[in-house]
Amino acid sequence: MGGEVFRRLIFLPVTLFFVATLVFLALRALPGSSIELLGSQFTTAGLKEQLIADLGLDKSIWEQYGIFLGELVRFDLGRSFLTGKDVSSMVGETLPVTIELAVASLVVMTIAGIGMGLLAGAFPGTLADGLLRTVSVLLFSLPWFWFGIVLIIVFVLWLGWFPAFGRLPSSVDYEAVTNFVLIDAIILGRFDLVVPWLKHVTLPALTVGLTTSGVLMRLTRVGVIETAKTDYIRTARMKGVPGPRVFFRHILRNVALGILTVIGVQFGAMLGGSVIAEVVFGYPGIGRMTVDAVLNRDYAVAQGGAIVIAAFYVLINLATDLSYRWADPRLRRGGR
Amino acid sequence: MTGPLVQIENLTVRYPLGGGLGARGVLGLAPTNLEVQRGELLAIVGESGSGKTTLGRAMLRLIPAEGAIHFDGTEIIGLGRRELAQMRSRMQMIFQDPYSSLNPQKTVGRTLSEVLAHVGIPRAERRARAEELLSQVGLGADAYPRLPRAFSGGQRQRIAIARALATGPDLVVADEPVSALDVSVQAQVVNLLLDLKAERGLTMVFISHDLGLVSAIADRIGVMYFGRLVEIGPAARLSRSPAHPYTALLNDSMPPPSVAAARATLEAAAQTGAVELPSLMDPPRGCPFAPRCGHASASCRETPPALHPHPAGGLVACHHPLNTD
Amino acid sequence: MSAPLLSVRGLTAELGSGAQRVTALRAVDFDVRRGEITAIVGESGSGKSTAAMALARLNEGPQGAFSGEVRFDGMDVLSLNSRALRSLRGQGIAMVFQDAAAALNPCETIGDQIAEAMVVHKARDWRAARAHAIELLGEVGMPEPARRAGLYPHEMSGGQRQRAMIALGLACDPALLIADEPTTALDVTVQGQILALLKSIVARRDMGLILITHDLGVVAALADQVLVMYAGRIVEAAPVAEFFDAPHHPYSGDMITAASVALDAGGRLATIPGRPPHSGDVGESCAYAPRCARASNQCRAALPSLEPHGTRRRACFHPLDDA
Repeated sequence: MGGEVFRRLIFLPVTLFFVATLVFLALRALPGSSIELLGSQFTTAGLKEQLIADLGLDKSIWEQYGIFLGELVRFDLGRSFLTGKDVSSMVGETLPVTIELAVASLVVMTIAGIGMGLLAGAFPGTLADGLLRTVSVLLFSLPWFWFGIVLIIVFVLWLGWFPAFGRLPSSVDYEAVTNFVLIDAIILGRFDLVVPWLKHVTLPALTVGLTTSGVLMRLTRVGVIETAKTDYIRTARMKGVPGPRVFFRHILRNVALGILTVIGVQFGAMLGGSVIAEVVFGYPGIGRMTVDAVLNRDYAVAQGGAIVIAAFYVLINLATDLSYRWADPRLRRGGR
Repeated sequence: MTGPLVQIENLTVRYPLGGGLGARGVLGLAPTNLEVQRGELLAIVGESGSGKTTLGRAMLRLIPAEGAIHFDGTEIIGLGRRELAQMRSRMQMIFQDPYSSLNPQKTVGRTLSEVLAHVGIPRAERRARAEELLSQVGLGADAYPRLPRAFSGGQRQRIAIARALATGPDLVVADEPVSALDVSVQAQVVNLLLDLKAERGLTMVFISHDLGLVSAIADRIGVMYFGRLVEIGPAARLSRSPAHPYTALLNDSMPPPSVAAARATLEAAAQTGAVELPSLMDPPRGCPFAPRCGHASASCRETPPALHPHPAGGLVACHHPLNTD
Repeated sequence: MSAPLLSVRGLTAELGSGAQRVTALRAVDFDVRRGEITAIVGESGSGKSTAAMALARLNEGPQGAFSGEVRFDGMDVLSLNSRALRSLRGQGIAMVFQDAAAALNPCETIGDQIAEAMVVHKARDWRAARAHAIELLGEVGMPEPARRAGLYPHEMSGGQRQRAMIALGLACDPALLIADEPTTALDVTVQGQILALLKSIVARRDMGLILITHDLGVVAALADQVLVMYAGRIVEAAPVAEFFDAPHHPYSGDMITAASVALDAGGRLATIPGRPPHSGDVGESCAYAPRCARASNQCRAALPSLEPHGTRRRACFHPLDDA
């Protein structure tokens, strides 16, 4: 198992190299450069050339690529040419925001998906099962941004229960330490941050969590139904184990293994989903940072954001696989 | 042509362990020498983990193997993809599970026509040939347009046999072809194989766990244990006077359908100790059967016995063979 | 003679739903006594497994309904409420299934799976239950039982898993054990050991054993009584020695001939023509008639009933003892 982790970790830089190359080339392929977008703002004649030289845009694309990779190897993500800020510190600020949102979405997805799945799987073929399956189809066929906008219309504009934009009200004074609100709330004793944050995170988390819960619901349902048919569940019933105990101790434990993988894969997908939710809800995470940077042709920021998201995605999948191996005795303790 | 149809030299199969970087291999098949004579029915017998299926698949190059396989004089391990594809039509396999070996989406006719097309039968003749094959395996031409799910296990195995015969093979390797079938149907399918073998002059390798069955139908029997051929010889000799203690154990393990004999078998089984195969990761130095063997001596645990001729015929890999007089 | 432990009368089972609903068992009658091994023999679709599961109502539900009477130890099994039924399962009747690799929970250790039965039925605490599980593993001949109790099913050999399955069945001292093809998935050299184990357990614990099998060799080795099933009915019931000496039903005779696996003068194996009927293909005539060499018009027109004849029962118009 140690060897497996090692092998997977070796492939991480390879994956990242491909992601970096792809992002680099894709950005260059977009029409219009950062300089052109600034366009008329240059008043002094020499300033434009100065900036082009500073950014290295006068060099050939392959030279730029070489420099980019060289910096990447030294973990130098460069600077934003718009704000001059260090991309690493921008990532440091925005990544926790996204992780926070993704975890909140995961909680929503897990509760909604597994809850609906268990209910439907325990009583297959009933009216409740039919209703829940219809709901799940609706949920996973909804476009995320559309669902987000509907939530804004209903809960923000009509009911006024939740704020629509941002992560915390602008009135709140928050000096970040880790930039995870809940962790900082404990470190700084700022428990007044929790409720406003929850209000802000609810709608984006519902958008991402509910739209992804449909898949989880179906898998949980099928898992429960299939497991209930297995020989070892028949054995459990033949032992005289009461129905609820068969369900929770035997069926659920075995279904949980399958669900765990799905949750892990979905968590990775949620990082992607967060990009959309962040844009719709004006949520200041790494997704929105990257999208903004692409629109502004702020190459260094866009590249840095994409690479960090990719690295995170790979690491989460690795963690999921490992946790699965640990949870399933057949994988944890190989053959005889 | 004379000489054996198949001649195998040092055929060895290693299964990778763990996969990826730094993988070790375990021996699925220890270096094996074997000849299959033209027109014979050679049975390969063994229990799970004996390597009998591995040997069968390696013989047809369905899995990677080392060593040499001479098929009708041509060495096939070194063959390229195209030449191998041509040789393949001369050697076919029938698998155990008639449910998973047929594509459920394809009609019987389509399955057969595809094979016939592959061996160059013109389109116009394919249907007639396929229907002829179906009647040869005891199914009517009405089977042609139907899907596999319309057939019982025994009928599906007949379809699989028709498919194997469609290429006009010289050699058929049948891997447990009847063990998934009902007792009363098993004999029907075995009889069909025997009839077809006689009619077409086929050479057949019949892989089975059932020594009783193959004793009745085979010309020669090879017994495998832990990836090794431990005994091979005329079927009648092996079932009447086995030379390897493991062959004797197999012979004595099956309760026959007669009360007195079956009870005696049970008495004997109650006396034998726990059955443990040696570990593939850590194969024993000497004879792999020694830990279970009543005749094992110190030399058995030290030196692996090689196959050598037995006075009553055939070869046996044992330091203390039985029935030598 | 003491009262039978299990007494089955007119057991009929309807399985499946809608148009697929079939009568999988028809009017099955038999008794099982303590210390006695009853073998139910048949091919696929004969109803032998359905009968076994019906005794503990395991296949009951929207897909399965039973009628008739199953008396176990004075209880009317088919009318038990769910609580009493749970108590019967495991404590009164236990079952050993064919494929122990599938029948054991892959995510729980062997010891815990055996212990759970005691925790559920006897309200034992886990510690005591696990200790007793180790004793049971010892009783079924598991080497190093204390260590093996902590293993998962995949870490054992096929024979060990089947021993664990048997230990699980014995956990709450049932009076009747039902073994459904207990050795079919095992290697031949292991089969005999498991059969010998079952035989010694039945003798030592004075239990009843119902052995479901397709293998006449297994029947000959173990059984006291033989019930032959075909198309959902018992076609012959006889003491084992008499059965093998002189089967009365042509199907029994054909099966015994086929099981001896020998080539005839023409170089072919003895066969039974045709194939076993699908479960539920039971008409109002003898189901074996289409395959039977002795069949007459009478067989194709009427259903022979299961009649007593000396020490046995048989359902045939032209039994083999009629010259």
